[in-house]
Parts: sequence; structure tokens; C-alpha cells
Amino acid sequence: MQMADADAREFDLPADLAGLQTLSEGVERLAEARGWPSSTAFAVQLCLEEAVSNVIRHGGLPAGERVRVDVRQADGAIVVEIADRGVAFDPLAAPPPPPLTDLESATIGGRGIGLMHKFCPDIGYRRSDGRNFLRFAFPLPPDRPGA
Amino acid sequence: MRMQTEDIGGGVTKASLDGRLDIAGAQAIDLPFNVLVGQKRAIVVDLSGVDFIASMGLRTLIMGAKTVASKGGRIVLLSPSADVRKVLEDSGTTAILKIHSDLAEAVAAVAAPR
Repeated sequence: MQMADADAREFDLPADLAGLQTLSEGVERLAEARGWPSSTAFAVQLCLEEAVSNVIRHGGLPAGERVRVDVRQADGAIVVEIADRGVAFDPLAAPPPPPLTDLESATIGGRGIGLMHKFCPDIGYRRSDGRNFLRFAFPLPPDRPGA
Repeated sequence: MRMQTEDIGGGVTKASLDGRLDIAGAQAIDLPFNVLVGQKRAIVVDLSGVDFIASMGLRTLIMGAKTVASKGGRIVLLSPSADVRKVLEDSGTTAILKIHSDLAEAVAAVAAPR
């Protein structure tokens, strides 16, 4: 018999700013309910914001299209997967923006993917069945009370 | 996301941000922040009330700093939380926007002649 996974949560969201808002509020409630360390919760929120806002802004999705986000907690890690039907885009293959050196030449934007790498040690991408799947695994510190 | 501004003397303006500086937060303060950086030359941006920042929030801060710098002025950041500080450092933003944890130091940094 398949048991329901109490530590999994699936979000089916409109691909717009309202969807992103729903996601961040839902993940915040999940983080509180599960007692995630605040720095881990921050990292999850940051990577989701960057990844989902990329899909919304650059995915070329038609109006009314949805984005699916799965959040589950297993094996000492929080695993998040984002699935969308936008144009094929592998953020892991994107070239980094030039470093910021001085204000006169500073380029605006393009910092999101670099931040994902700084806040998540384990990111994977695959394109399958016309969809992008971007997966993040955030290790939880060992020996947490209640873990 | 809210922004409150206060003239703290010596030609220095303190802008206190409060809330989440995510894509929606950046959208909410872009206009008032753009007006502020268009008008003022010495600005301390108090981040102590900001509990989240992502790249669109960085974009707002960097654009503002560029505008002020183009007039020979300066912006510094005051008292971000540990998580917000990590975003500022890891993105390389602190190379062009300095962080201070003391208001008097921050004021001295923006009021100093270039």
C-alpha cells in the first residue's frame, strides 16, 4: 500500500507574480511547521524566487500556464523540484555575469543564477517530455531535535 | 515592502526599508527609491528591517547606487541581517555598495568628500 508522504508538498501555481507570492507564503508555513533552520529556509526561498521568477519572466509561457513545485523532506535534505513547460533553459549552463568591480561599469541584473549556486550545493537540471525540471537539494544539519 | 525616508542632518538621508525585497518588494519600492536617488546625493539605506532579498532587490539597490554615483554622491547600506548580508556578499554587490553596522560610520562614509 502506498502511504501518503506527510513530508511532501506540491504547489500548482499560476506562472505569474501572484503564483510566486502564494509559493513563498506556502514555503514559509512549511518551514515553520517543519522547524527548518532559518538559514536553510532562507536558501530555499531564495532559490525558488530566482528559479520561478526566471520561468515567469523568460519562459515564454502563454497566459494561464502553470508551474509545478514539489517540496519534500527526505534523507536529511529538503528537495525542491520546479517543473514548467517554458522554453528549454538549463540555468546550470548559463555563463556567469561579469563581476561587479565599480559602479560606473556595473551591469544590472543577471545575479540570480550565481546566487542559486552559492545557496544550494546540489542543483540538477533535465529536460523531459517538453518540460524543464530544476531540482535543488538543501542538506539539513544533522542531529536536529525532532529531525 | 515599505520605505521611509528621514533627513538626518548634514545633507544625509536615511531610507529605511521594511519587509521582503523580493520581486514584488522591488516592484513596490522601485518608484519611490528612484525618486529618492534622483533627488539626493548622500543616502544611507537601512536594511535592518529587510528579512529577505533576491536578485531583483539587488537590482534596485545597484541601479540606485549607479544613479547617485553618476552625480558624485554615495549610497551605503546599514545593518543587514546575516542572511541578507550573505546575499550581498555572495553576489559581489559589496564590491560596489559598502555595508556598515554603525549609523555614525555610515553617515561619515556618505558625507565624506570624494
